[in-house]
Amino acid sequence: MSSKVIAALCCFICAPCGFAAKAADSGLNWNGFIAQGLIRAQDSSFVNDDGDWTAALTELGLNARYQLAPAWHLSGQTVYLDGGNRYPPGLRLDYLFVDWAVHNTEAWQANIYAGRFKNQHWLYSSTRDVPFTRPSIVLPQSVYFDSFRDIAVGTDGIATQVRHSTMQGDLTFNWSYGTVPITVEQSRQLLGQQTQGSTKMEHDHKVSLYWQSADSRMSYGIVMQEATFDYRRAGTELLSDAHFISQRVMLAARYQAEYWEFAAELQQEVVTTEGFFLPQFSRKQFGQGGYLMLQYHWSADLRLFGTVDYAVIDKDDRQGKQLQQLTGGAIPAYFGYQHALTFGGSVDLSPQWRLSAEMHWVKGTGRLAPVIQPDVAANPREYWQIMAVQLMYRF
Amino acid sequence: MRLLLLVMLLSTFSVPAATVLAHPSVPVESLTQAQLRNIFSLRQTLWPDGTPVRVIVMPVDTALHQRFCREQLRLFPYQLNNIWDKHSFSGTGRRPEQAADTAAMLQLIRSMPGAIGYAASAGVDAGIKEVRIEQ
Repeated sequence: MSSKVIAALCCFICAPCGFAAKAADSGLNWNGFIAQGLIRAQDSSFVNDDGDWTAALTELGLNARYQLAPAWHLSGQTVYLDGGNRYPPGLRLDYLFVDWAVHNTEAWQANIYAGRFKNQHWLYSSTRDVPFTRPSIVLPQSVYFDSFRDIAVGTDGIATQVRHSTMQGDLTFNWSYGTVPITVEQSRQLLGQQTQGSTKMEHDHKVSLYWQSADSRMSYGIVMQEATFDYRRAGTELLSDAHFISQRVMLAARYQAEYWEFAAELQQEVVTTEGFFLPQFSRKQFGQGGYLMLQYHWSADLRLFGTVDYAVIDKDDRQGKQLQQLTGGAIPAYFGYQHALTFGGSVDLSPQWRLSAEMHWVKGTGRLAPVIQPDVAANPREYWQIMAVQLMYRF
Repeated sequence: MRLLLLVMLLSTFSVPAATVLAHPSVPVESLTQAQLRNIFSLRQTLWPDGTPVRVIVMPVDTALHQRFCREQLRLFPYQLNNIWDKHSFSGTGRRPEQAADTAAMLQLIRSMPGAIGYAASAGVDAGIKEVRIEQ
């Protein structure tokens, strides 16, 4: 299914190349980006297994938006991503949907999206793969968990966004429902490289409400989401069939001043596991996490930032001691959490070119893939670092 | 320090205030600041008669654009740029057309039904109408 859709989208996206100059008149608009970087995650399998510098920091994208009628648009984007172990590399149909502006007046706007659309619910989720639009090369893993990238980034289904403007500020309501196809590679990355069965998402349901002050400086939001998955074991596996439920509640806040901006997202996620290790196995974990990020606009071209990121897999086992005890020491306690301190910056070399660099000091490995069966051998240290530099171009 | 402040103050006022301009077909004569912000933030995409809104802007690093963002939209230029990026890279909108200079801005507004843009006060001419902004 996906190869046909990608081929169709490539035709849709490549079509404007021949008459881009007439884009303004034809109702057709297209954009793209190319980014290549170098990254090193020493003493961890975050990017690769040997912890050396690697060029597995590639992001390419091409999108188009076509006006079918004044209130109807067709939008699509393909991306090629290579993030090493962070997510399976390859070409992806990022989104392809019909956008219907059901109601569009000065005070009220309502849109319905049908197809494959981006996650509009978190502060940076809708453009997390677009290097120019995100605040750091590697986003805070407490919320933007890279191993869940393909599951969290978008959905096949239907969504709506309703906005209302008042004298006091603006309200935005988002709702989405659908599913996400999960490939064998994604399933193995989440559950363990040795797994041979298949994973299917039953549904992904998200709802969020944001309020922005009249001066556009302050925003608050609340997000609720639920996703359910089924795992069907392969005939030869010792594992059992399983049912997973992930429920997340998140609070978001952002303040934007002239020279600095502050953003925070806090989440609690309940993950219910039934089966998998044994047919009668049942577990409910309350994970918590969040980040605080401060960005300083030194000038129009230079931006600096710092982030504090905090995540625990089980709020009742913040030090991971129970995890270590329950597994007889097979899984070290530091797989129960992951905290990070990050500093970095970016400089705009021109309106089209940007160079970004950052350094992460990380404690714990709780946000490394695979999640259900951690790779202890490849992650022998509690403390590790990420260094990354990326050059990006937009057109 | 005082000299620096004086230079900053003078440079701010040396940029003429932006006047909001539109194609004669645009069915509005005035807008509130909130409505103008909704239009340039790509939220309101249709005029009351159902025709598409065509937003035209000057290059983001020009003094006129910066002053227009701060004074007319009550947004910092980087905020507006982030909003455009979010729309254009998630498929929910298109980045505004960009005019290289005032002459190009006037030409685009004149030739594109539904167009709205801005220029220095002295730039208004025939075939384009001025939209009054209510504070």
